[in-house]
Amino acid sequence: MMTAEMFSDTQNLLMDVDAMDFVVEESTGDAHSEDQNETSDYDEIVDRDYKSGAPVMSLSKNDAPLSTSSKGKLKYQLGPISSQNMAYLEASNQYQLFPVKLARVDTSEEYVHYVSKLFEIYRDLGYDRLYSVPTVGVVNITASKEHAAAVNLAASALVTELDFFIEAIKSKKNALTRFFELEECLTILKCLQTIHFTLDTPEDVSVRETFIRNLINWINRSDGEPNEEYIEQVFVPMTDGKKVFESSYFWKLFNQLLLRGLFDQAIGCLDRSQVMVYLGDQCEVSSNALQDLVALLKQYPMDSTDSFREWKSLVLELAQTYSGSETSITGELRDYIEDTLFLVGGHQSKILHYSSTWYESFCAFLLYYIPSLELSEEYLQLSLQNRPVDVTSGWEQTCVDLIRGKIYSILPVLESLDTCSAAFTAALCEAKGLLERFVDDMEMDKEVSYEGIDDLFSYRNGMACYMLNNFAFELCSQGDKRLWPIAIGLITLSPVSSTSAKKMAIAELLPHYPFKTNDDIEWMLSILAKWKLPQIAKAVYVTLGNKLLYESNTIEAMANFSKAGKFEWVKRYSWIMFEASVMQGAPLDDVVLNAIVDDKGNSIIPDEILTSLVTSAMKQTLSPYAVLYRFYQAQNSNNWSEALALLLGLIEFPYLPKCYLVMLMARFLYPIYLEDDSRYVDESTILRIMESLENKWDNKDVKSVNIYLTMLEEGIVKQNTLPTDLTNFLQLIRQKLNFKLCQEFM
Amino acid sequence: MRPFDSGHEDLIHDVAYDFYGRHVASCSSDQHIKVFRLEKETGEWQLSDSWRGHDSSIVSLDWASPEYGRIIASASYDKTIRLWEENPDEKEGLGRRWTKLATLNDSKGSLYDVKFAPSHLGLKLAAIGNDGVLRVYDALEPSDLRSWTMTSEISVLPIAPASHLQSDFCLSWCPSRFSTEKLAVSVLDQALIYQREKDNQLHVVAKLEGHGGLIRSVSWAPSIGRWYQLVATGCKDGKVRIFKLTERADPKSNNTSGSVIDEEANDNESINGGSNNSQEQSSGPFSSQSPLQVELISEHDDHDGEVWSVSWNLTGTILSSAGDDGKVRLWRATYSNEFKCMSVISAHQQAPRV
Repeated sequence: MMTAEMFSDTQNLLMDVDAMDFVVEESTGDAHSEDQNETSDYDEIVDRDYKSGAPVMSLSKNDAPLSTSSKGKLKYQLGPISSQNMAYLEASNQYQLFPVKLARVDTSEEYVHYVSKLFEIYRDLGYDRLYSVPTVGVVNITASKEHAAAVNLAASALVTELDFFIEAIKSKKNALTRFFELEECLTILKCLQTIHFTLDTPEDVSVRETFIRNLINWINRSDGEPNEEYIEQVFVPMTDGKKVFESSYFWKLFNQLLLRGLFDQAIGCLDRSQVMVYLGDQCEVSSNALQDLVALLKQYPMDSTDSFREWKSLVLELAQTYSGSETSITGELRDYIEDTLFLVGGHQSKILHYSSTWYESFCAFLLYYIPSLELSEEYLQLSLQNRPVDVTSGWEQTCVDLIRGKIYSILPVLESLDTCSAAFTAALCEAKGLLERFVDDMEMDKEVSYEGIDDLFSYRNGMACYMLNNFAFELCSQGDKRLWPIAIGLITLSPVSSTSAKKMAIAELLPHYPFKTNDDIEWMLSILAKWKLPQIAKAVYVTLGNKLLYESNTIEAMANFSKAGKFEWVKRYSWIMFEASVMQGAPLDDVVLNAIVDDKGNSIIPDEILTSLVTSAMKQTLSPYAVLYRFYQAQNSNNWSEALALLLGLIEFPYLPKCYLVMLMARFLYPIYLEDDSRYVDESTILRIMESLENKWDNKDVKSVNIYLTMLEEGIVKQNTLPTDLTNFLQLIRQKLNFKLCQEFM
Repeated sequence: MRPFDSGHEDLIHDVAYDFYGRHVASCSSDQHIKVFRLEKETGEWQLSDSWRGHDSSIVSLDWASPEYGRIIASASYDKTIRLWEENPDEKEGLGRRWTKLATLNDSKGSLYDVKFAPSHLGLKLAAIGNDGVLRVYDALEPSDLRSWTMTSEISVLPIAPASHLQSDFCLSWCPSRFSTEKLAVSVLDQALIYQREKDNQLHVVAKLEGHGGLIRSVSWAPSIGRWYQLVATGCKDGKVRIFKLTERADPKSNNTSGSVIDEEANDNESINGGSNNSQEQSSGPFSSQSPLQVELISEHDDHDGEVWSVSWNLTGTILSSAGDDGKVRLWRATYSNEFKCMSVISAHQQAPRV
């Protein structure tokens, strides 16, 4: 079975490509088919859609519901999280649900890390995120140089991070498709970096070295040729007794390594072939020429173009001297040595002759002819005439395009491989001024039309902006809260002139943030505060309140409703708690609630926490419960007169709902103070109770009736001692109050 | 990702995700509603509860915004809409976790679709059935979810279709917080856009033309970050259509674009939900009298057959369409604003490879 682990030795540029058993895309899905139990992290492409050319994934590897080519009433629902969507068939005997992940949704830890790193790179660019050509005022020359240096550095960092990311996932199971896509992406980015993000770095003494290394790195990473197996075959002894270096294969290999700038490997091949030993005995001139070549290759000038000129003149001198010299060897071997010397001297036809791909000759021209990007178009044309683009390889055409400066066309290709890399690459290209904007001025002058102006996705904002915002939205759909700050950061930093467009987008997006901890909530609210979105903050508080209610955390829920301005809700839950407490005839078993209403303070919960929790609205709405709580305390300490005063306070409370008067009467006043004829109640209290009854008691009030019946049915009050309806209960109360009044006069 | 048995014993008609995508509800001709919970650790769906919800096939269901608690609305061929609230104190799997809050039984025909309005419009839902009447209900007192009031009743079809003929009815609310209350309603082969006007009534403001058969599904895209709206339809004529709805500016407005939007946003933020939204929103530059320009921007017949469902993702950047060809197609807008198929999900068994 083939795995990505085979790519372990990336330090060795001679990758063993053949041994990797490259498979066509269709079969990648089978790579791990033995391991059915393992959750697939990445897509498994089973086909290409004949209509659109888009990749086709299977609904289920083993349990797809439809037989090949059959029809069915298939339905599909996209979910709020891109990794969770649902398909089903509306058909008899098809009662399965099929969870489906969107294509190219990477939920791995490594991806989160990669996205974070790229965002940091982009964020840290600061003002260099924007490209501007100063045309008025004092034009600061150094500013543009510094800008180029900053953006080039960011591009280099991006490529490095992608390299790390690939390194991190290459050994993962089921990541093969993803691995190849990222490798392709890396090849394109390395080319982009080499061509557009290297040579204009100012005041960098090693700029040429960086360019050459990037160039060599790009083409060698792209295809891993020549592979080890091929090299080994070249060194297999000949059956006809010829030596290795007498075969054309050896010199083709040697020259290929030189074309690709693999100097050490080329010298290694030379040593292994023992051609030097042979020539030392046979031909001193040839031996010296090759020794000189090796010495020159070891000193290939990386530092400056001046030293390259000197080096090249030495190579040309060597080639011409050898060409005009008499040698002891004749025939093919001499021709091979001569070819190699001319190839290293930058001879156009020799370079083209020994190149098996357009990029080998392109690289060789830059290494040995004239190392200038100004000639890149010419080099490319020559190379492509000699070796056209391999259309089966995705990155080759993309690299050709970007060498020609067609940056726009490469971005969709990158996006199809990895949206994260594509978005940040687009941003860096924008920052570098590689993406020109074509805005139709005529269209701008049209009559008042708001279309597109305040749109995050308007073409007027440029392609980079479009891709960054698209990527930000994609992150918001991943259901991973760690990606949200990056998404919001991207929207904030994206080069859209209108802040209101950003504000509106954040207002719509942020309520979907999958908060879990208090820190998450704090972060969400801080973003809303920063963007001055108080209404959204209120909606968040309400959502939070409902979530807390669901977790039976009523007090915190009320605090959130209160912050949301939902005072009716705060009031409602305060009364619900009041009712529950009256029903059970004791304080509720809620430490927080009782700590709030306890005057004496509560050692369990510090005062400062209570102060921060309890809003002024809650203080007001919880006051009836606070009085009730004190009533229980007085009752427990047999302080009956204080308990009665507190109960009277509740009964007389002007905002007490009617139904609760019935409840207080049935639960406390009647059984404690009225039923027992010997319990003393003073005249003024009796009169005040009577007045409350007069004002509030309503025999026809549905809620009052319901609450009274519930109390009777659930045995909260004694059924035998109280009448079955409110009218009679009121009569009984009046009767008892009259009796108490008489007692007072007697 | 592995498929799982829903446990339904008859046709599954609808599935709906909750706001955060951590729960999914399904309904069926077996008259049952089932709620599944996503296990964080395993990433698998577990049945949370199942209960008999109606006396006939349940064909549509939807979750309310979490701002209003955990509430599901279901619509059935028994002509009723039922509202359900989760009781976290009840154990899962016993069929008692969801309690009925209310039954709305105004419809004269089988119901086909029910959808909650976006949360900024208050706790509100719309439903449509084969009596051809669109009904909007409001919980005018969100703290009392048992009490629902029908606030709009609109005959979308002048005459209800004959019962022996095939019919379909769908609806989808405009989810944008910064747009006037709107919803797309499809009846048979007609799709209409309703908007709440200054008179606090819903009026037809646009038609989505060109459908050559029953509209099977309609979905209004979240327009986050976009100035215009997108509505997708899936049709019996085999086409997925995407319509662009643009609210044109009032030429008399002297505002610059930036301040206009700020004003719009502020207007909305001053509104505390409720049905009086349209009154205040119409003070923005795009008053309810502004023409709603409709443009068919995309039309695809890739499914080679009836399109059964269309749906947008959270951000309105990806559209899915599922068709009679047993394929789900995922569409995405390019930079040049063309919708292209980015991937396909096939429900077909793969032929064994040789």
